[in-house]
Amino acid sequence: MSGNGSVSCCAQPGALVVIAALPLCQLRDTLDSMEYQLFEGGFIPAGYGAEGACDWPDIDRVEYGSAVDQVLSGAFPLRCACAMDCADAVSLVQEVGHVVL
Amino acid sequence: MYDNLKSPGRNDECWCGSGRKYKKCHLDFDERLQSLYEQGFEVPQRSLLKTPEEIEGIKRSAAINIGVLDLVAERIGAGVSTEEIDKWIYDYTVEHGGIPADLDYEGYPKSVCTSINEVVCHGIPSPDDVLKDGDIVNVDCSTILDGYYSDSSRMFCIGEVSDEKRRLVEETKKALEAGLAAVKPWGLLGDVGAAVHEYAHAQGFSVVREFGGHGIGLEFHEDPFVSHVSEPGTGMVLAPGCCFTIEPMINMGGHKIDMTDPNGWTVRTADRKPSAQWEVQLVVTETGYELLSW
Repeated sequence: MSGNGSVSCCAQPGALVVIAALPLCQLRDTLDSMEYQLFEGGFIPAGYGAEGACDWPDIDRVEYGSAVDQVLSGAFPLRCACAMDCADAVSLVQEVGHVVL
Repeated sequence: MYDNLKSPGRNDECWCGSGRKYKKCHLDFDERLQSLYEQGFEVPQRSLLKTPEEIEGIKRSAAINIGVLDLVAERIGAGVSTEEIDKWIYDYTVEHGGIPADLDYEGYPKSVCTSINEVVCHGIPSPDDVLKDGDIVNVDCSTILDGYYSDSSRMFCIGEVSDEKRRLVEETKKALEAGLAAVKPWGLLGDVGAAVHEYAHAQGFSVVREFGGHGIGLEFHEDPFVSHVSEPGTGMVLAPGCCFTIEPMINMGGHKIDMTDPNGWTVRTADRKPSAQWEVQLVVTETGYELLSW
C-alpha cells in the first residue's frame, strides 16, 4: 500500500492556499507578523503544518483575492503572492524546491 | 546524539543488539551520522535502522509476500474478479502463517489493493470488477509475519493490451529500476525520486506526487516518505539499515489525481488515462542495497 506524503492536500485538495515569495534576508521579521495577518479576522494557527491545513476557514475566491491583497500590502516585504488550490500549490512547490510537510 | 538517544559507552554493548562492544560496532557509524546532522543533513533516527535480526525477520515475511504475488501471476487473467484475487491473497497468506497487512489497516476493508487502468492506487477488490482483455492491473500486496512487514506490487497485462498501455507498464518498471540505481549507501533519498522522475518524464509520462514509497519493517508505514518527484541532493541520508519501498505511480497523461471516490480510498488519474505502478522493498547495505520483496 502506497504512502501518502501530501498530508496538506489529502483531506481538502481543493482548499485554497496562498503562495507568497519572501526574501530570505528579511524572513525572520516577516514570519513574526505573517502568522496573524494573512486573513482579516483570522489567523494561521501557530505551528501551522499539515494538520493546520484542514482547519483553515472556508474562504471563497472573492475573499481570497482580498486576502492576497492584504498579503501584498502588509508591512512585510513579499515580492508576490497568488491563491491556488492546495493540491496545485503542493505540486508546484515540490517541483521547484524543498517541501516541508 | 541527534536523535536524543543516549549512546552506550565505548566498551558497553552496542545499541543494535549485536552483543559486540559499541566501539567495535556502531561507534564510527553513529559519529558519521552525527557529523552529517551537524552539517544540516536529514539523518534517520537510529530506531529506523534495521538490525541483521530484523532484516531476517522481514525476509521471512517477504517470502510469503513474494510467494503470493507469484501465485497471482500464475492465475490472473481475463474473467478473474478482483474479489477472487483478494481471496487468493488472504488464503495463501493465512495458510503460511502470515497476516495480510492491508486488512483493517486504518479501516481498509480487503487484503490487497487491486488497481485497474486509470486507478492509480488503493483500488478495493470487488466481485463487480472483473478483469477483461486489454486491462492493466496493479496488485499491491503486504504481509505481516511475527511483527515484520513486507510490501511489494506488480503490474499484470490482461490478454491483448494496447501498445501504449504495454509501454506504460514496461517504462514504469524501468523508472523504478532507475530509482534503484540511485540508491547509494550514505547517499541521499532525494536522488532516488529524482532518477525516477527524470526517467519517466523522458518517456513522455508523468509521476504522481501525492503518494509514494515509505519506510517499512517494524511498522507498515514508517519514515521516510519516498517521493518520486524529489530534487536531487535532498532528503534523508541513506544510512545502511534504512528499509523502505520504491513504488512509482506513473501516468500516461497528466500527474493530477482524483481522490473523490466515496469509499475514501481509491485514487484515479484526474484525466482518466491509465496509470501503472511497480513496487519493491529494499534495505540499504554497506555496499549498496538488497531487495527484500518484489
